[in-house]
Amino acid sequence: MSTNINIRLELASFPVKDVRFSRQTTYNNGILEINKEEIVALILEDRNIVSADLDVAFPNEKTRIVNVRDVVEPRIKVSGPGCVFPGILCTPITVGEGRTHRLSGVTVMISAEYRPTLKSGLESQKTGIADMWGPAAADSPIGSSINIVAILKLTDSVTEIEAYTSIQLAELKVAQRLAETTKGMPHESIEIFELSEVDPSLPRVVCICSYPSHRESPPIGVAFYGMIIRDSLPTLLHPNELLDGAVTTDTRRGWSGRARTWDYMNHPLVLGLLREHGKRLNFLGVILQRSRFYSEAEKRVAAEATSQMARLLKADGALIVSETPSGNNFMDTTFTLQACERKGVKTVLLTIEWGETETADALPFNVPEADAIVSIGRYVREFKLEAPRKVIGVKKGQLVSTETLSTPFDPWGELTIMAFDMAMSVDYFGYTYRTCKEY
Amino acid sequence: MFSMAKLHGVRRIIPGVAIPHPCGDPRLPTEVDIALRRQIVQKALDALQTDAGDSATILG
Repeated sequence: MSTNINIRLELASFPVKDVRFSRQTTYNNGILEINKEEIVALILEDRNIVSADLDVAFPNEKTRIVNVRDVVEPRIKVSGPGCVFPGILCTPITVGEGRTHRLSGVTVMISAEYRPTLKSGLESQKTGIADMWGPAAADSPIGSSINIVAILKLTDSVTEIEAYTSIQLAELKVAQRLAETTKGMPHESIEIFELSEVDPSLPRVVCICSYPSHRESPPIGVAFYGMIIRDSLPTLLHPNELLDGAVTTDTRRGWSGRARTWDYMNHPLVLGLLREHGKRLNFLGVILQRSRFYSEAEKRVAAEATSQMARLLKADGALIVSETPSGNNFMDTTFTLQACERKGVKTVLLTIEWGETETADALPFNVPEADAIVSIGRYVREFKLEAPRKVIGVKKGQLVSTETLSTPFDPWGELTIMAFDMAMSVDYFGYTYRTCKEY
Repeated sequence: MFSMAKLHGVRRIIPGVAIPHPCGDPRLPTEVDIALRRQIVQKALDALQTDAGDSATILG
């Protein structure tokens, strides 16, 4: 048998125009009906979850969602190896082939409360806030989609690892169950993604995506096929694997300081490169790079290994993107950029800027080789938000806080809040039209 | 992170161990760690007594 390198994914879209609670869970003509009791029972199979409820947030309604942990798009594999969210919902088999159905225009979002055992530090829990109207809604993909929110309360004795796992399983199981309704139904549109043989004169491009990890943290965080990556050197993957949910994020941290699982499933840069493959460029693949190494030597090793991978793929150019602008991570990113350029791989860096004050340095570190940078907005931004008519996630009178030791506030009132404390309000991958300009 | 220090015009640079623990290494046995800490701090004190000039000097 010869090696099968013809990896082809058909991504079929089933747009959702309305979501209603009903006696059955079905998808028909753009209407997603959900049997709430069935979904709640599915969530409560997990003994670490003491209570669960389901609500729906629609765009333009004055609804605020609190305790947001993670967001995914409901998808299911209908043919081809593995499943969507491999390594978590099925054994880890390489995905990205066959046919995947997606419910578009809708998300599954988790709003969860639990008693944290890790009170502070880089790996402590954090929650995000999502508004369905106003300036914050206009700034986030959540604001224009219908969000099916599962509201969970975990047992008091839950550990951080158990919280991470329970939230993730609830989220992914609900997403899978909802996407199941598209089986046998006609799709509205279909997109085919494959890295077929193309005109050899087209520029060869690789996408380097880096994410932070901590060696000393509990085994929680960005995962590849369900395996938490802590101390890894770069990994090469087919872009289709991302579309099938091969990369997931820390489900305890719903703020915008990091990307969400939804962002990896809908990675705009990866999708853009896939769509231009064979037209303007030859897309070679995605290099997933762990950043935030602790010493300069380790950072250099990771940068050298990543750039060598790009060179061995005979890349003419690399697009580099990172899920955070923090100094520690940014050094890894710039070293990678420098190492690529030194090996003859031209680079473009896509990054947000700090923008804390008028005079603050936009980027924490730079190298002379970083001479092609696309700015995709500002990290430090403040929102002034109106009072909502409805809050999903807590009862009236109950206060919320975005991290364990911060001052609790009333989500029913007006709010002045930083963009990074909102859910998916910082765009790391370039799906918005934001940029920075100096006046 | 001597590259970062250099970029910001620091003139005397002593490479530390790692970002979360620049002046020591908790992975080492205590006595070895103490000796390492002493060595790094001693290097820094020695560096302060030398003329660094106008350009960055990495004092390993």
